[in-house]
Amino acid sequence: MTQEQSALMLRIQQLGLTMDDLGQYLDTHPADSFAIERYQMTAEQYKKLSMEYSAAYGPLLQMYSTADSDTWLWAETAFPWND
Amino acid sequence: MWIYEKKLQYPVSVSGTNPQLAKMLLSQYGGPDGELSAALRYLNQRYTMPTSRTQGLLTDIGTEELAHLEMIATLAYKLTKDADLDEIIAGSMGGSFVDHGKGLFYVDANSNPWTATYIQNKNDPIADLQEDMAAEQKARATYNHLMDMTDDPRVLDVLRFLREREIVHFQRFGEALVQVQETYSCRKVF
Repeated sequence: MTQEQSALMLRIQQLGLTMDDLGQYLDTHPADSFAIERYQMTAEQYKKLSMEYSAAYGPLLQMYSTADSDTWLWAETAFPWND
Repeated sequence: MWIYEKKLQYPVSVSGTNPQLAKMLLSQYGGPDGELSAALRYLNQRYTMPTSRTQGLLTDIGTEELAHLEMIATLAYKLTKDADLDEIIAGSMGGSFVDHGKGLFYVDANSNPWTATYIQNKNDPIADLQEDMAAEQKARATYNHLMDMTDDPRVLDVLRFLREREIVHFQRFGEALVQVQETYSCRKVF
């Protein structure tokens, strides 16, 4: 994994953890509008970066499989324990 | 329904081969207070929880525990993948190698296989959430013990993250318990 790839992955992991944490917080504080707003902002950013990552390095989600590739990149790119 | 995302929740790396540490870490894979127990406990209790709020919390925390299970697996895999047989035997993983090769298996640090007796479901939200809170504290204590067992800074970083998440989950389950108690103690007029 290049430094560029792992830096983008790290950013995605940071945003993902923020969503995991805020999502669980909101389960017990569903009326916290500040937290809802932060969740939505984070999710927007997450979607953008994870699609960017998928296009450059292989799909993070199977549904991000790229149409312009002639091979099934989902299973052709490394799984996270082999990175 | 679940969707697999091809990433770890938090970056996982190790400083080098260490089968002995892998063997100890397996406690958080298939041990009594490990991530498999946690995920299966919460994802099983959620069906009969009284409010969708508690069902949501158990779903979300149970799902995160599956991501932690993958992180522990990644640690154990990376600590053993380049080990030769002498290192495997010196790391007390000879028995494990006979049964599973370098494959992972759901056992605790003493090679006892995972069992459903590690978890409960009482269909009683007070009892179940109390169990969940205790489970988070036992997992935190196990991570503490594991952190005493290694000086690998990369592994310590991962263990510190996982320990922190146990503390957060304990907090969330405590909030859910208070809310359930408030719901139950509310006077109902029909």
